[in-house]
Amino acid sequence: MAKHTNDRLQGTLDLLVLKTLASRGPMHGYGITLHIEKISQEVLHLEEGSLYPALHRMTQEGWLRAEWGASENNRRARYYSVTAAGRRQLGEEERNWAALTGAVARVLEFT
Amino acid sequence: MSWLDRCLNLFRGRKLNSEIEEELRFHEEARIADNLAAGMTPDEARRDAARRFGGHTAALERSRDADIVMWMETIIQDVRYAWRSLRRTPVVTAVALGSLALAIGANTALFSVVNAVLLRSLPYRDANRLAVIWSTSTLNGSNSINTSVPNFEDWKARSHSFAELAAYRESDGPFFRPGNQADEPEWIDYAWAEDDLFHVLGRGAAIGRVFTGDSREAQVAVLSHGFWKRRFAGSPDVIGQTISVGGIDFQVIGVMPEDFAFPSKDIRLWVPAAAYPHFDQRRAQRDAGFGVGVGRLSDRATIESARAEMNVIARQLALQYPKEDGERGANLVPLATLIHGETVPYMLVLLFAAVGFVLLIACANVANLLLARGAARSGEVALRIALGAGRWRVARQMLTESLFLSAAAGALSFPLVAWGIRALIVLAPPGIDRLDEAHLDFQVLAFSVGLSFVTGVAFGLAPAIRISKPASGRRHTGGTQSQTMRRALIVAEFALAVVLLTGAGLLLRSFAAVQAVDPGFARDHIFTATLRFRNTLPRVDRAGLYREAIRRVGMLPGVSAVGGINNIFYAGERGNFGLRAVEGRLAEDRDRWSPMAWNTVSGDYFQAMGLPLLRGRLFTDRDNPNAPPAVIINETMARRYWPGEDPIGKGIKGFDARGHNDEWVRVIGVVKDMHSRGLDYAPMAQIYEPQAQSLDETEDMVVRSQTSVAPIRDAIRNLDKTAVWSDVFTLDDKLRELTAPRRFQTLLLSLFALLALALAGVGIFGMMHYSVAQRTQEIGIRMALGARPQSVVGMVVQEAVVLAAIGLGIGLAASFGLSRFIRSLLFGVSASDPWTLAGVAFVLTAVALLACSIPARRAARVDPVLALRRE
Repeated sequence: MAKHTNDRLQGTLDLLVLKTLASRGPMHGYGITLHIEKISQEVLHLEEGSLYPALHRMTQEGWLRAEWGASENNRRARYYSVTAAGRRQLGEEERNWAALTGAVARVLEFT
Repeated sequence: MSWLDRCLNLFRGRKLNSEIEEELRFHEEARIADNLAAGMTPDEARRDAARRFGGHTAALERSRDADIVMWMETIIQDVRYAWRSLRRTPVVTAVALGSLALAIGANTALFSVVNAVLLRSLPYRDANRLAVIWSTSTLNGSNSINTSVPNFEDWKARSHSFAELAAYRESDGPFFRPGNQADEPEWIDYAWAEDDLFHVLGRGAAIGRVFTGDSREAQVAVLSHGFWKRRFAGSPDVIGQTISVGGIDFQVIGVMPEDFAFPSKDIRLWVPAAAYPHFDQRRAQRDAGFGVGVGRLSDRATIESARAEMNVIARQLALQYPKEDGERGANLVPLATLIHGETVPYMLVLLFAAVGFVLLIACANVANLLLARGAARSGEVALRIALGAGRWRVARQMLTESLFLSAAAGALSFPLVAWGIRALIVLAPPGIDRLDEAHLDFQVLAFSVGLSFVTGVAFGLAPAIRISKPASGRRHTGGTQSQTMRRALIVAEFALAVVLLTGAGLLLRSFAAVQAVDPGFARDHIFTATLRFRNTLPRVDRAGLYREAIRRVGMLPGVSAVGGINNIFYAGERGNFGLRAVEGRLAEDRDRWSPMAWNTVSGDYFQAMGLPLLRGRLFTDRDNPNAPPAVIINETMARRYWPGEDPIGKGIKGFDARGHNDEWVRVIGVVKDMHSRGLDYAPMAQIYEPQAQSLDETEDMVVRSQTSVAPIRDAIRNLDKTAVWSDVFTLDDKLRELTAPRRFQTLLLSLFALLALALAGVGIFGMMHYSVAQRTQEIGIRMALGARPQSVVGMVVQEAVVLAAIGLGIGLAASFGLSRFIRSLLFGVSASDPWTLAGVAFVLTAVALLACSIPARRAARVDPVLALRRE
């Protein structure tokens, strides 16, 4: 949906989640949290609670698919994976991100 | 997630909640486990997990919201936004809401009546497969006469179009309960059923049972629900009781359901035709009309095929029995046509169309309001579109706003509808079957909701399309385009209002013309009543009773004249009639026949009615059975047969023989015409004969009196305990009843026209108001450049007047085209009555001027400095 493109922070979270799931395959929410923390070397500090509304929203948008499955220690957990629409969205978010960072970089170089 | 899922989410909130709860709990517990593994104490581990997670409940709420509300979110947002933006202009919104609520309410109220009376299926099994069959007379063009019993039996034997065929005969007569001394005798309408009438109609009794076509069971009766409630207090003990109807005893075997009213709601009970006096003789009388056929079409037949077959059968019978059936045909119509008649559907459809026009005007008004607001908001909209809001989203916003308005108006209209239905039932002329069954029910509710929705879309669509069109780059985007659309709407409103005003004006003029007609008789201190004696008495005895009743009433103090007639008033059109012979003339050509009535009078009828004698003499006691038969005629009759001649002494013969030897009936006097068919029909030819020489009853009593009716009632009671004296009205009441349909149509159409005018006025006011507001700057510049306030006022007024004039032109052209639909209702005015048209033009221009006077004055007061500073 168009309105999220303007929302940088949310866009960032969407981008991270999509990227994580696209590269690592189906994961549950806690797994996504751990992964993002690990990759960003704990730089991106995510309030873990805010991940879930984002996951549900992206499921709603049709970017993610959610299924109940068993966790590593055999508990019931909700696993998320990327849909085809999600992959398209990921591509767009990546392009947006590159454009934004590029622009910011040019601004920084210029001054 | 599919739409279905989203919708389901709404209903499975609890389960969803627990699923999200489980997911979040899993996350927290996994974090705690990891923390423990990393060496934290259980307490630390828990606190760290909670801190990292943030508000647990908040997350739960937000996750759930994301699921359920996401898809509703924007709608709620739209509605909230609509509410806010409408509240910003409370007066305009209130006016829009008010006019819409009025229009929707009026439409819904009228719909409930149309639905109850016309649209709802009749309460019979497969009612649209039922048809009634009358005999017709090629002689005088009447097409709804009772058919004789032998003819009916031939119809039944020869036709193949009907699965079942029965007949009924409407009668009236005295009713009382022989077992009950205190019971007042009452004159009622009832019906004789030939063959299995109830089975044809597919209805059974609510209590007890109905009778079948079995002729062995003759002395039984089935009561209508209303009559049972009124006369038997709704007691189930009624079954088995004996009643007397028309002098015959019947045993009550059943009570019909409340909605059973065949063929009309005036019918109080049904009895088998086999109980009809001398019914066996009737079976042999082919020339004596008895009843009306009612049949259920067989599966293969249609109304048209059945009609064709009946015509063939009627022709066969005419050839076979030329004496009795030579001039008889058959007329088959769907049952609904019989029940609804012709005038009622016409009237209702006309009014429904009128009220639809009012709704269109209200819609145009609101569309205009939204367009104007849209134009004022064009800056905001352009900004939103520039910020990435989709055009569809913006258009949807506009639609939501209009739907919100119409839904609110629909809700507001409900009290109006309930009140309107009651008002319609009270105001409506008598004799509209099933009218009182109109009420606020599910169908009416559905109509109202549907109507609100349709109107919302109708008036919201134009602004929505308009506003979502690509902006042209300037800030006041598409100003001229939306102006054009708004002007067109105003013109349309005015045109519609003109059509209604013209219609109402013509009807009002007709009504005034009808009221101005001299009825031909005196109206003050005259009342009429119906007096009937037991019809088991021999005719001669009854004639004696009428004479005696008139004599006794005439002696009461305060009574100046009393008379009787077989029928004072006739409702509307009648068939054409003529005479069998006129002395000294050739037989009359049937093409020359015209409406005519052959009446029987008794007592001082002409004096009581105040009908002046113009020539000759009135009846005296000497005009008795042994004297030569004599008649008095009215002016129309005299003009028709003896134009320019003195009719006194001329001889005529009607179709029934008079005197001892079919002698000439001599004209002895001429009286003034009276409007016996109602004021809106020309007087017809009338022949009056004295009761002493006639066979007919004079049931309608006319009393000219200064006193109350009580002593008269007592005098009649003392004369004969079983006499039924009823339907006491003043002549004024009677006349009013005859004009009731016209009054109803005129009143309602005038109301709708006024409403339309007011709405159109509001419309042009709003339009000019906005127009001035938008052009403040331009006006300021003009004034700064030296324009005088008068010229500014002129500019505004000119715009309004031009719009009104265009609307007037289109409206007048349209009313001219539509006038044929009300031509039959006009009386004394032509459809292009110049006074009406001039009046409409005047009223409309006045309203337009009045409506734009306030905006014009505001324009004149624009301060150039302030206006220019605005930029």
